[in-house]
Amino acid sequence: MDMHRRSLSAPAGLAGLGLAGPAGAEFALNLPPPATEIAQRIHDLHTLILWICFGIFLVVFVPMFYALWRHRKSRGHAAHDFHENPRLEVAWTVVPVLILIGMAVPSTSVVLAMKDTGASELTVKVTARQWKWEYEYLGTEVRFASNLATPQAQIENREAKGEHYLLEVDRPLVVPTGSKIRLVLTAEDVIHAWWVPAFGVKQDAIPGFVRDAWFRVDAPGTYRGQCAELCGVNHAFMPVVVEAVPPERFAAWLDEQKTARAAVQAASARDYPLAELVERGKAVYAAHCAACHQESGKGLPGAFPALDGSPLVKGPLAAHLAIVLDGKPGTAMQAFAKQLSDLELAAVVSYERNAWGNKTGDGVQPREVAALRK
Amino acid sequence: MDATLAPHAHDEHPSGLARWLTTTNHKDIGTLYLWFSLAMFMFAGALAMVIRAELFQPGLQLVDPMQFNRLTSMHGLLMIFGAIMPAFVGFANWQVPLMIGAPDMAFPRLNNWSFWLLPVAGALLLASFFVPGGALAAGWTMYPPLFMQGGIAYDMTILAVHVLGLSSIMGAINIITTILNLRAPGMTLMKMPLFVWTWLITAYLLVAVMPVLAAVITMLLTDRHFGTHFFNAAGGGDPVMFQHIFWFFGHPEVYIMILPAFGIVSTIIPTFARKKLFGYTSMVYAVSSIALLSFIVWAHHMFTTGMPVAGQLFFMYATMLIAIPTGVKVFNWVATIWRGSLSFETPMLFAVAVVCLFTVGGFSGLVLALVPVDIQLQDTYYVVAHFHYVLFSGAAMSIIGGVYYWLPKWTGHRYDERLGQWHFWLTTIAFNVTFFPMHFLGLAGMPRRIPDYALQFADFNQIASLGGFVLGAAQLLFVYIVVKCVRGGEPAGDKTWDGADTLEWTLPSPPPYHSFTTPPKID
Amino acid sequence: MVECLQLGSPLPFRVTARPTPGVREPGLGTAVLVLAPWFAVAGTFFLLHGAWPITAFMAASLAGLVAAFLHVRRHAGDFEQLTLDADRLVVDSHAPGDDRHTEFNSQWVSVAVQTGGAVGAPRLVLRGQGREIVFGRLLSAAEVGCVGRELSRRLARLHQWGRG
Repeated sequence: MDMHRRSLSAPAGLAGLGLAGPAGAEFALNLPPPATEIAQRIHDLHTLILWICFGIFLVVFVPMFYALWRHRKSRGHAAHDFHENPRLEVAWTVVPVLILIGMAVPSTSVVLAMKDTGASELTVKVTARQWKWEYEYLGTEVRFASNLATPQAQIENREAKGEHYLLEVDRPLVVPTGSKIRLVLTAEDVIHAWWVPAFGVKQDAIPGFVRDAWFRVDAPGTYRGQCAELCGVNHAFMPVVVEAVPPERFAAWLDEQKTARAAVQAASARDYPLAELVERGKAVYAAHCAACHQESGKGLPGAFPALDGSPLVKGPLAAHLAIVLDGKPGTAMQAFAKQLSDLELAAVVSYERNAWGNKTGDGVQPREVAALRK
Repeated sequence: MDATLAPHAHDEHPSGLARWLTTTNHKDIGTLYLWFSLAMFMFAGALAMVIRAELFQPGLQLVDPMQFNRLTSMHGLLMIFGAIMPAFVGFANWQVPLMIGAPDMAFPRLNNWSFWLLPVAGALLLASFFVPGGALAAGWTMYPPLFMQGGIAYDMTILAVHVLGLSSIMGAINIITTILNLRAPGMTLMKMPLFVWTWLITAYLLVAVMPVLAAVITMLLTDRHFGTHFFNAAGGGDPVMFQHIFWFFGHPEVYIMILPAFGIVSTIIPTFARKKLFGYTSMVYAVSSIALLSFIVWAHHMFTTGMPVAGQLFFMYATMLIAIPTGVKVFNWVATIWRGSLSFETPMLFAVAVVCLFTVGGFSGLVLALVPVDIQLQDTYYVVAHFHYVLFSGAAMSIIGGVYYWLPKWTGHRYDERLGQWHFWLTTIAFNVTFFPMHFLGLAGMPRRIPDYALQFADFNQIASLGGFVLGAAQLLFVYIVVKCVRGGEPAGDKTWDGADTLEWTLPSPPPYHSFTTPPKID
Repeated sequence: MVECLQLGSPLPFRVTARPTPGVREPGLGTAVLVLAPWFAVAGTFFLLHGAWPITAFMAASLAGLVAAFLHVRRHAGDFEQLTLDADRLVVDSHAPGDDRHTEFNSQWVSVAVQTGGAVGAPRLVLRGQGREIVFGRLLSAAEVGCVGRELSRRLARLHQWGRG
């Protein structure tokens, strides 16, 4: 793998005119090693263009620097009086046209291949929210959110940073190798972009609209990417991780998810003591709420309201539940009704009402949340 | 009596602050534009210093992510609308009347208003840092729906951009009218210096696209406050339509910021090559074709929004076509240099650097024009590298070169050549150290507009930050050189550069407050 | 711009000011030709896609440009002329719909330079016989000063002769 990367980054290194050191993991000079056929073709296209540009650079600038050196006034060079040459001018208009046609042909064929999302074997619906991805395996009941897993302490330099700092999630998108996977993408709040460099896939997720993209990955492994469209304060903290596994392992994983989902539904069917709800709620809060409202509940002044001491949180339960379930349009506050289970919602609301200085002493049960959904 | 009323030795005009507030003189107004733009350049540059300091290493150190987004958004907005565009209008004010032999601009009072709108807008933008919620953090491109989540500062930004747009359009109308109506007798269009040509075309672009910007931000405003749903999918609108409209303005805007730079380079190179500009006519046609093409390439900023394949191909081909007229310009510059009698005073150094580095930006533009590669590189640091190669080493370095070139004419003093050379080398080297590694960062997969990044990007970011700090410090030297030159120096002589052949060099340095009240003879 | 002509009559002093020298080629046709079709196509396109504010702003922008050219064309023939004779000071001015002819007895006229706080160049104020007119709309600040000084000098000489 390393050899592969080194040879392909040669042109980029040349263009760097000696600025770049040897290609390695740290000083990566080129596109990441492709994992799909499309990414490979993009890689090759880029290499081709780079060499063409490098050639043009030499053709134009070697004569220029020669002139800058030889035709100096300080060497006594007198200016020659010419300021037109129709043949030359026609030539340097026509030749670039031919070069451009040479670039356009291979590019067009890659574009057509990228756009061909038909005949897919698995369709995953990707819903982007500030600041997480939700994956839904269409045709199954399997649906989950994928959040940044890097601890806040690493971001704030209180702990040493891990190997996959900012590129790790709690639950990756799992796909089978060798199958054509079609993604249908949309967003709930603002525009995001789902991007995995090794796949050559970058597609905006646009609220109110559905877009699609596809990839087929052959080698099992973990592939990492990030949100590529500015989507607000935590744009940098919205990674994409895809785990490609052999088809039989994928089938087993999918079954596991279905079982787990049934268990979650069962868990929502009974009542819990307040202390347990608050305990569970703390974890839900950390995963879904703390990015904006902060672990301290103090929010970020001017951007995200504090929950600690908030009249809404300390006030009537119904209003508090309503904003958590339905969100607040026009702000970063999302509708969590579809994202979280009844138990998770009950737990997080109970937590907020009893954490920090909020000692309301009341809580809400999963069945009460379920009743509101109807 | 005397048959002529020769301008008196001391010109009568108000002095002090009143002079600058009420002036309708194109030279005064040009000076005001240039000082304003220098102030904004330094301020927006200071924002960039904080950005580079935060990105010096992974993790959050100096600013929180919200503040970081404000810094990147305002850096972009202020550099484009506060530094680069006003600088070029400043050049137009000083140079267009001098180069076409006109006594002043066609509408001197309008000119005064155009300028004084700028500080108003600038003050609004600066004030927006201090209102609840803080300044614009949704990127200078202001994409909804993210833009909708902002506070009062976002409305202030809309208002400021409106004011800036009004100023630009008034300035553009003034420049068009001046160039078409006030040329000295005998100055036919094809005899105009290329700088004047580039500004004529730029002014047309401004009149054509500024209303589009004004409209699109008005639509944002009504979406935010007056219940319209132009860009709100839930109300039947389309957020992608914003991007289409914005870039329909935005791509011509890119050329608004580069065509006058071409004009400056095309003035400097023949002077120091002591040779006429090669292919003047083809230069005029090349600039015109770039301007026309700029209207049909906007969607190349949006390849990842998922447009139909026919759209992607059309915009890819149209974008690639721009390489042809741009290539013609570069070839013409090289041919102008070829077998000249070259000397390398500071303006020439900057002009040569612009030719080389702008070409690098052109190459990365060509790479980005190809849809498949663009999809890989869109919204990465590769794009950041690309647009700094065209906007810093294209536009800003042309402006700096132009200032060195005309400063002796404007002030009557030579600038300090030794310091100028220092400034050039520091700027050029630091610029490349800052921005060249960003190509690699983008290729390796670092998204733009992020305050924190994965560990694999750490080394190049560190190099880029160090380069950035030197680049920033070097511009303090520039301010020093300019101030020193304004305050005094070796007399410049009427014709500071022996190879110069445009009309302004027939006047004394500095030119009289009112020049060409009698039109010069053009042969 | 100023032309000062020496006439054959006694004590001739004449200043004629016109808006601007230049090629006198009001490029209205060119300006509209370049932009109007473009605005028509793009404006209609946006109108059909529901983005009507763009069409409105485009129309305003084009109107601004057309107004600028019309203004230049309308005022291309403007002039201001001041003629000082032995006993008469005549000021003629022409602007569209506004032709003025004022005569003073040169013995009774005084001249002053007015530098108001308003935006723009200073003007000459001529006062006499209970009337006051402003001259120099088309002159630059330097020219106003120059004409003012020359006129004062000549008037002073006339006044002396009158007394003598």
